[in-house]
Amino acid sequence: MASPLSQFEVKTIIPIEVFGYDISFTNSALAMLMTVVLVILFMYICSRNLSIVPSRRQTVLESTYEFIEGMISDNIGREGMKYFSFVFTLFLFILIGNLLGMFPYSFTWTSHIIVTFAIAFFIFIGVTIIAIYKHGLIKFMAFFAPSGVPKPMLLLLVPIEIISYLSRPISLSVRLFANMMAGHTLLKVIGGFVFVLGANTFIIGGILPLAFLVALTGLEIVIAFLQAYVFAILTCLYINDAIHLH
Amino acid sequence: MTKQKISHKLVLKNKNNTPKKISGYGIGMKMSLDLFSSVFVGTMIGLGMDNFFSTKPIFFLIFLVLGIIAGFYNLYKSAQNLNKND
Repeated sequence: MASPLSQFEVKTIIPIEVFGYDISFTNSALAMLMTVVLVILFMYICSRNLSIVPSRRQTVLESTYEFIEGMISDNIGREGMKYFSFVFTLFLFILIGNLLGMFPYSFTWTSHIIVTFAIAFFIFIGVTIIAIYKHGLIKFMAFFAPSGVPKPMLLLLVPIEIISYLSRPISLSVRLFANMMAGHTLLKVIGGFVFVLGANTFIIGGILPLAFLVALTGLEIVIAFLQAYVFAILTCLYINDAIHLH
Repeated sequence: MTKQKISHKLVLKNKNNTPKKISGYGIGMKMSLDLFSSVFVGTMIGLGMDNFFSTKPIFFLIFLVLGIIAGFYNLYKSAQNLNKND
């Protein structure tokens, strides 16, 4: 039987090499492409024939919109609506990516640390640029020096603040990666129990793990929603920090 | 127009009725990551600076300690935030 971790293997589908760099089209890239296509299809299908009295399809889209709008106005305030499209795109991309991974034989690209880290790192850079652009470099630097602290303490506190600022993309990316990776590995391990115990005890032994597996699949779908939500809400919090430096 | 207003009100009411609740799993995940990521970043900065100045263990040790302090400081801050929300 295949190892529980073999589902995360990146396989080359179309080998491409440019200037000695391997930029092959892999199953990970295919999964991301499928995610984008699904998001576009979702938006297209739901936003056809818009009317004042919304149809069922339109209600789905509107409630998604209101969900993100509420998230932004709760965490950033009305001036955060400028970043609505970014947070909305991010949320849908990660959500559909997580849900796509729940299909058998598909690939969960959110379970790769390099992908989530790249997303988190670009959010981090973008948020830093917003902060510097809005408040200037001097005020941004003052963000790392808490007010009302004696001068000698600053020598210790400033590096600590800088380290905790730099640790944001790590904690943001590891959260998503660890949840997806752990969940999918667990599903595979329990799936192995179903097969092995069932095969050795004439199916009887496989019933309990199978029931457990069904429950875990439900839990995993909840986690797929939850992690996309957490990723979006943390992005909102970071944008909020950038807009209102304190 | 009125339809929009009504739907907006419904959403707002719904929001007020269901208070925000963070699960214990979420809190644990957040806190452990706060601790881990600061230590990781501190270690990486230290190793990088050692590599650059070729002063093998000095910066690594300094930034490891700073990272651990930053980790616990983050932990303290997020615990205080939790208390504030309750």
